Amino acid sequence: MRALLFATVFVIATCGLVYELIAGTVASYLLGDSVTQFSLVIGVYLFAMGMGSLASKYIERHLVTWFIRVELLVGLVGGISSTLLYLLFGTAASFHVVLYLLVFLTGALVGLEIPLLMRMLKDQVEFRSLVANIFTFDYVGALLASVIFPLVLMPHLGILRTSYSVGLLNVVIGLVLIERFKDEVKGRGLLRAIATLLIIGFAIAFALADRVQAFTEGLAYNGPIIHAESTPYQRIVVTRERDGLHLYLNGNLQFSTYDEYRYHEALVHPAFMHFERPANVLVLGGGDGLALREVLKYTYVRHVDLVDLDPAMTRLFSSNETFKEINGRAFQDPRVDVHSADAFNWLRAGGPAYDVVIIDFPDPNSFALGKLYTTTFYNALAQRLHDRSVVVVQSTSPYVATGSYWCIHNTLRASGYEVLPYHVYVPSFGDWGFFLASRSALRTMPLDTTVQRRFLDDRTFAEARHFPPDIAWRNTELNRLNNQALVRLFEEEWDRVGQ
Amino acid sequence: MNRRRSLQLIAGAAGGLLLMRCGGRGRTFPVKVSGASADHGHRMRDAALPVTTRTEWTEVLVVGAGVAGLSTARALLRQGFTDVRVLDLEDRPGGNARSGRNALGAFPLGAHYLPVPDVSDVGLIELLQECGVITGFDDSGLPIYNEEHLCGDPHERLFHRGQWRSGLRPRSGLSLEEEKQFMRFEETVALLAERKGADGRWAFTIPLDNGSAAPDTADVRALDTLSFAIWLDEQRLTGDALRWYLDYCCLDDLGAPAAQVSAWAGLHYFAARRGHGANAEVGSVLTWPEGNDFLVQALLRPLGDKVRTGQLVRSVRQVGEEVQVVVQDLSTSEAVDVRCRNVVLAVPQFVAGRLLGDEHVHRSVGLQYAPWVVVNITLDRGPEERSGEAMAWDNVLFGEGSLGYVNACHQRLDRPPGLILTHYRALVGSTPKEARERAATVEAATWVEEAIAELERVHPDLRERIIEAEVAIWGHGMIVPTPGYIQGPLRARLAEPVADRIHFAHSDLSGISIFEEAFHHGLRAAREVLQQIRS
Repeated sequence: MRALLFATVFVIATCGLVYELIAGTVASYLLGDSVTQFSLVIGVYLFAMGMGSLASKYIERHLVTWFIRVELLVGLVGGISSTLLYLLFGTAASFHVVLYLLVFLTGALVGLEIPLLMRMLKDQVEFRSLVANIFTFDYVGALLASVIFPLVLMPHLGILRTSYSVGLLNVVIGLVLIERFKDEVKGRGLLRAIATLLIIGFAIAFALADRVQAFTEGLAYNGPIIHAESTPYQRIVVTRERDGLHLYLNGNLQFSTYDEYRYHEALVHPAFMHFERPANVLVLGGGDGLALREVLKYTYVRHVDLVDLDPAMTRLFSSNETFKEINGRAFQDPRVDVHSADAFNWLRAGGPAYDVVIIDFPDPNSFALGKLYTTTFYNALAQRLHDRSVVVVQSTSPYVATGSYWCIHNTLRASGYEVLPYHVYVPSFGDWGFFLASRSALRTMPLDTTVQRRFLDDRTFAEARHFPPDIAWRNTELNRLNNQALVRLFEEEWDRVGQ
Repeated sequence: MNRRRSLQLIAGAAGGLLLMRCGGRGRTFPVKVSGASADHGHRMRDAALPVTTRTEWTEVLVVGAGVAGLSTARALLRQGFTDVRVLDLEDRPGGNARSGRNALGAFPLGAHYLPVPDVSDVGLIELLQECGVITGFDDSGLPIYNEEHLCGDPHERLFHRGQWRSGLRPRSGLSLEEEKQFMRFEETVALLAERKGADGRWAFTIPLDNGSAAPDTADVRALDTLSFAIWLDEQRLTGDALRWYLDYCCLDDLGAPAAQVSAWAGLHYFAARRGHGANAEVGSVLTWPEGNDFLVQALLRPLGDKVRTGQLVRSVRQVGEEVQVVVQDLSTSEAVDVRCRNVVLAVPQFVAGRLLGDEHVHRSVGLQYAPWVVVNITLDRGPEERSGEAMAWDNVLFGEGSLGYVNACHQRLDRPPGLILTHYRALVGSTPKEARERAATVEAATWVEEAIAELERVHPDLRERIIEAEVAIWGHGMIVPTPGYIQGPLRARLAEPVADRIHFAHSDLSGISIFEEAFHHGLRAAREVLQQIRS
């Protein structure tokens, strides 16, 4: 019996430290800045253990029963805490509060364990060797945990299965003690039933951990993830949501199949209203092939170069059946040449001028992306244009980021372009803005009626050119490499709406 | 370990590859060692003079293809003077402005930026025009800079009190007294920056020899006699944050902390720069992924095959109307007797002294050179970040003795699938000489490990991201403007020609190791040579 209780100390010490490591890992994974996260988690956890120890003195009788209750509770809370954190990350108003509450709860429960055990053993072992043995097993358990967590548990089980296994271990201890101390345990039947249920629950969760993982990460995206990969440039996630497939780059929505036609028709077709029968087209960005699909509707387009930085994007959208369906197998069209290259390098490499250039870069939410909206970029672009070439630039939301929108406009103007602003409503995005730009005057012609469209017609485009007073032109700094004015404006404006 | 033996240990590694494993979980990555090769340099003093096999002739021979030497040769060429030859013992020209390159791209091995010069610096403005950095001038005559070469935003960040903050000057959590001291220092510097002498010259300017020599600025020049630290103490500018910041600035530009440089030199750093352009405000800097190697290539462009590398100059003697130079080819060991009418020694003075021999051996006594270690770390992607500002061009950790790191990819317009961080450290000892001697006993891998250990504080996953590293060790990285050197008699004497046909050009003749000073010593030496030839 003494041996059983000392073995218990060993196991709960190991479990206790693993919970702490799990919380630190999940926190740094979700919030970044691992030094801060680990430091705070360890601090709060140890403090909570102290509070748990303090609380133990208010438990006067039925020590074994209390100990078993604590075990089951630790198993439950510790076992599901990582899952809970993932679930709540996307939805909790204040994720930090939830995180530290969970860390505190786990810590407090673990803090209760050792004092209770010591009191259970105090009449059976001499105090001197009791203290020595308990702390020996406690610290050796901690060592074991800190070694197996990074070397065995994380690499082989992953964070969720590790949590479930450790939770399961706590519950099993509870169950063993129920059977061993049958007569001393109050409400034995109920505790046994709870323990059994928890064991079954953890076993199922363990088996389904992959799906839980996908489900929980998916919650940050409002739907299950059907594809996820990290490239040197970005994290690509595709989710299946009620209204269709969504593509996210670094967590930012790029399109929803539900209404992407609105965005891509507005992006591509106005350029064709300002250049008669273009033959040579360049698409920058747009590795999803959706803008390409619209371009290819024009039979007189003879050749399209699509230049995307990330080969993973074009690979995904040119090889996977589901995604090929979305872009109408645009990448299989013989008129298309795909280049995995940096846009700046592509423009500077030199070559023939394009009639139409479609610029479909992600929004300027980082300094790296901000460079693609600078005077220097638009000057480099001019090297691949002729006098009448028409460029279109996707330019974020003129409603949410009015300053950013007009900053792109002013930068284009300063770089020697004639600019025509327009905006449309895309439900997934809200009010969304674009610019047509050319080295010479822009003259609008009617849309080519032989081409199929669901959204854009001449009247829609005419109305798209109107900007009501609240989002009207304003003066801004020009976006240059040495001020990154756009990224700073963009951050400020989107932060205001909490995006 | 005695000194010679330890230097050989590093030299043995020079140019070679080491393999290094960082910590338990990091992967193994190769470490390349570059920088000034000590074994080549030390051959100058170790072996006996070789026997020459033939004699060659050139009008002007420039010894040293660093910035000063290349500037000399370029200036001569621009004056239509073509019979020039430049020799360097390293296998590539550029001195400590050289760069390295790997699969991801270029990175600096040493000097890596140039503050936007003042329009009055005609020579430098011309060079910048020549290489496309200046594209034109606005109506008021201010240069218009090619924005690709101006340091991109964000410029600097400081890791201070657990967060990355914008700018290098500590601002957060300062006591009222400390904040007042910062303001008092900034006001003092602003006044000094405005000071002009009766001769119409600025008290502080670049190149520093263009500064005022009038009696009414003697009080400013007198600041050269005491150390910057003593002057700061006298001004009761003693706050920890201010003094860390000023030590940082001194180490960065002058190679030694405030206690070892003169007050004049320390203040010069803050009060001498007023250059700006039509699209570049005061304080803007020009920089490139390959660092100042960009400017080296601009200097090299007109020189073509006039520059020869791997050439060890063994002795320089004036004999009658000509100068005799013994040159040894490092790859064939063949020695040639080069005769010329003028020689420009564009090398540091301790090298010049050895070349001239005998009575000149001691010309560098009293000159102090700071050793530098530059570690380039190549990562497979951007490392994890602590909270606060995003990665800038210059990234510094408050309280550290190093100078932090520069993102070598910052100026790139394309987005590379990785990152190269250039970590700078000026080695500090009780004196620069002591620092150099101690540095010579440290192995290359130790410098890499030190840099990584420091950067892990702000990028916890750094080790796992490393693909490779390159260490450049500069034993005599830069001249240190110790008290009394810049305004004292020794410096003026060192710049004077020896026996009227041997001239000198090097930044150590200014006492401040920056591109502008080296460049202007080159222009001055070229003028001297032309004068001598025409007379």
